[in-house]
Amino acid sequence: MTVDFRRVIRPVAIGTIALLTEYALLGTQQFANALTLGAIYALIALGYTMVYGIVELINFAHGDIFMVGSFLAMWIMTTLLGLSGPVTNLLNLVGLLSIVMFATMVGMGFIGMFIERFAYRPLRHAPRLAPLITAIGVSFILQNIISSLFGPSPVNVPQIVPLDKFAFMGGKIGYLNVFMVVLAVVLMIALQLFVGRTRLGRAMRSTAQDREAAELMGVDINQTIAITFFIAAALAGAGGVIQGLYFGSIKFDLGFFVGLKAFTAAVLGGIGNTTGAAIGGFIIAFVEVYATVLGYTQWSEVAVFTVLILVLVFRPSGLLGQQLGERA
Amino acid sequence: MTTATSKRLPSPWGRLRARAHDHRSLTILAGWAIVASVLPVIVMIPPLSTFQPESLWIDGFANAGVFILLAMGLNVVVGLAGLLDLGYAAFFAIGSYAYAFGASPFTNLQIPFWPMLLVGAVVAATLGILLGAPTLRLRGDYLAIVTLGFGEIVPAVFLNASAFTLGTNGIGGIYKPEVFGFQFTLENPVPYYVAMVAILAITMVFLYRLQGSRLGRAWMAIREDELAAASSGINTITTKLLAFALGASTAGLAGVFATSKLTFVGPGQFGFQVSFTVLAMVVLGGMGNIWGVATGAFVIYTIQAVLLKELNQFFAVLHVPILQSIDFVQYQYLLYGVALVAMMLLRPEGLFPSSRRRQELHATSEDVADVPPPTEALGA
Amino acid sequence: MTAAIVDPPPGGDLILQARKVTKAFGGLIAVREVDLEIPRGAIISLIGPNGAGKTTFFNVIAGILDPTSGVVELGGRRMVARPVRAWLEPVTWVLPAVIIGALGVLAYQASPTAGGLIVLLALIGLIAMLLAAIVRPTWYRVLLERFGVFKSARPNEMVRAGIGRTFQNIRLFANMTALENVQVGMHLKMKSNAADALLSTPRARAEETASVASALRYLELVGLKGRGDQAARNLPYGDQRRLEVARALASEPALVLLDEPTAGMNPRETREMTELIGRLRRDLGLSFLLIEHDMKVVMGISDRVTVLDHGECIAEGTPDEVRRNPRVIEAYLGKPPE
Repeated sequence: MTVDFRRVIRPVAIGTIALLTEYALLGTQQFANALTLGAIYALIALGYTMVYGIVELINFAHGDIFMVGSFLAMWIMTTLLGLSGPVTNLLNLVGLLSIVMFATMVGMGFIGMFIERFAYRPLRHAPRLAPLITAIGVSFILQNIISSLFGPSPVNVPQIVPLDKFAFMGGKIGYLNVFMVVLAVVLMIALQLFVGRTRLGRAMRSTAQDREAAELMGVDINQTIAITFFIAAALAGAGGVIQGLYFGSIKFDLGFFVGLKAFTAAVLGGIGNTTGAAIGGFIIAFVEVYATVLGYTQWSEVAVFTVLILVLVFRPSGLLGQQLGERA
Repeated sequence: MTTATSKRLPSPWGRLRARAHDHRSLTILAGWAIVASVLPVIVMIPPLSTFQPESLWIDGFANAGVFILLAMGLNVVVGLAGLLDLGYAAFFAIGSYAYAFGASPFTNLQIPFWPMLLVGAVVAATLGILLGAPTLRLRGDYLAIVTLGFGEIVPAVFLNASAFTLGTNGIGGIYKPEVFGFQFTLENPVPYYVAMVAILAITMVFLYRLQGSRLGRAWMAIREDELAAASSGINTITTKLLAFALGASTAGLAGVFATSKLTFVGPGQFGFQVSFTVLAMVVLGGMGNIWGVATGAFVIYTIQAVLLKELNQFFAVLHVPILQSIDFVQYQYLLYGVALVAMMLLRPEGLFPSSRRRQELHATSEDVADVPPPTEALGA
Repeated sequence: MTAAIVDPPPGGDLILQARKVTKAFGGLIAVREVDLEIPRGAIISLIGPNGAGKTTFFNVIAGILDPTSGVVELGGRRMVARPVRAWLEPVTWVLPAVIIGALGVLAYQASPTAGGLIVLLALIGLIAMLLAAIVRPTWYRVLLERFGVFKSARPNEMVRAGIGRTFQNIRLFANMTALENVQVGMHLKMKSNAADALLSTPRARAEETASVASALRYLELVGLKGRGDQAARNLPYGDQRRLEVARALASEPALVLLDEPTAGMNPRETREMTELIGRLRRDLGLSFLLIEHDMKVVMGISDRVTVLDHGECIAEGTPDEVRRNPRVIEAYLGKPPE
């Protein structure tokens, strides 16, 4: 397995510097928070960047898919599995979590595919504005369905993972944190392997680069795009599971703000670049947590949006994206 | 701007249309005068008169006017220039707060209403330029997100800078307009109604003039093909900025009026719901078509403000099983969402599209007209 | 051998001079150190196999792409080159405002009103600089040049400097009428601004009427008389190409870049287009740079021909010289037309 060092060195360098800076500034406790939050953002950002890479559409509804995922996971845990509190038996815990994860990811994947099939595919050749507006419509539909089913107030999610913490480098890290981050990293690596080494992954990459050429080479564009949406939604669903388990409460309008921040992360990392999306997610989480640490909680959102505007103005290709030379 | 030489036979209707086109500004003003006079009469007829008393209707019309103004302004940005602005409510907020700062006990200033209209428009336009300057270079999708972010930042700033803006509680007791000594009151909606109609009519005249001008063509060119527009000499950035600024100024105008009527302003009034509603009005009404957008805005607002409540009451009174427990007012955004998606899939040009737009969006591949080749070769 | 249809160019100054223009996209060098000179009133053709970099070169000249190195001069004035000290530009916006603002803060101690006014001035200055950066008036550009900052002209500035162009894949404003397309081409020739439009001043109205008449004349010039009201997308292919030419001419350029003007045309249309180009050069004194694949057009109308292959210039000279050049023949793997 050959590794092209030049291509790897930049993301690795940026990622390491980012993580070290975060740790230095935040201290162990908040660092763990930032990592978990970063995991959530990264998973969602991956979805944004994948979809954008392949159909050049910012899926406004993606944040709401994350939100629906969190509700789906909650529903599975409470209604289907009858859970209400921490599960102490490790084997049981692992099994239950796997079920919840798997079911949520698959369920959201199908929902994502469904949305693409009926709301976006017919508009693939329409003027740019049309799918953007449709996406906004879909976003509202999702939010309203959830708020009608579960009400507009925050909903509690059973915290099935015990909240025990262990001491580490002067602070306390929860098992939950570790689990979440490890899970996210595993998913991201799995994604990279899938995209890089499988036939379908190759189809995705070629479609993203040049759709017509890919079609001429025999790639089934519709299927490829559908799979992309499936994966993106599944990852967002995973993020939703983490959100529910970690924060303990979810709300129908969660998708809006989290989606916006995850999008910022995707842009920061370089839209279309999956590694960048992951790194971007952790950086944005850091910005948000740091703002809270400094005492400016309400301004944390403003801070994130400012990052977005700054990136788009000064370096629209993001940290790992390519510089385009065109000016119109 | 088509040539004057038309091969159409002059039917009476055609002649009337031609004359209306030539004296467009007058037509617009006359049209508004007629509509404004007719509306209060129509609502005196049952069943409309049973929904609510006439003064409430007129009050509602005045409020609808605010949204019509907002929709017309956003139409310049989205419909004419093709820039997707998802944070339009921010400029509405700026106009509103500008008036609150200029005419309330909070700041102890009492600048008269009419100059404040101008001030609100200018301040909003300035902020539109400041926002647009760095961001209008971006591709459509990015611009949409940035404007969305801006639409969130502005109310957040108003919320958090409580020393200047009284935070969540907002600023109240704002002074109502006064014209030549005649004081507007909360009890009588008619002066507000008349003022709004005047503002709308004048704004519409201006917008139509812009659309048919060199600038309007430049906007259309940018919307059609930005690279070709730039290669024809159009400074795309300044042109887009102008669209942005004009749209923002209209929102500022609307903000001043709305605040002068509500006499209260608070950050909660300017969330994404507002931006989204106005966008829905523009899209559903027919992007690019000024009167279409105005009509769409009026229809949607009336549905939202009046009909949905009526539906609730209707089903409640009749004790219809499922329908009576649905709160239509709450579900309106779901309906908007569905309507938007359905519109984009089925009729993207909106309910009242310009013919140009309908052409644009229903293009088929065999569009080459069956025209015989030109027989006059040049000079040769 | 086909004789040139039009007269040889008059002697005179150079309209355009491109020196060692190179454009690389990452590792791919699309254009490598290409020189090109266009004398006033000349018709120059740029030929080469597909992928030779012709359109990329066009795009550099037109201001759409920044070259990796090299210079393009119009009438002796440097218009396009690799950006120099671009980072300095934001500094010019901010620095004066910061300095004045600092002064204002200091003055505030002594006199609050004066200090406040100075800070306000700094703010206004900042906004003014930001607007100037967008509008780019002459004084702004001169100021930047003083600091050694150089940014290439953008496409609309190239139009202002006298270049018009057409596109390889027709880029008309499809849903606007032919007349309106030409009117957009006249954008820079019209002076009314937003204020004129809003107030419907007599000047605005007169200019509008005049623009319609002018546009009709351009349409007639390219052979589209009577088509003004048709939507551009409804015109037949050949007419669309002509309309693009009319739109380019409407800005009254000195140099017209035509990217494959006869692509997809039948022999009669090709001949008409060729004659049109010759006539425009003769009657209006325009210079032309053509990308062409039709050798009859190239040989028939060009004063000089430049051949690109894989981004490099492999031959330059009169049509006859180029035709006989073994490297050119080899690049095309074919024989020139009879």
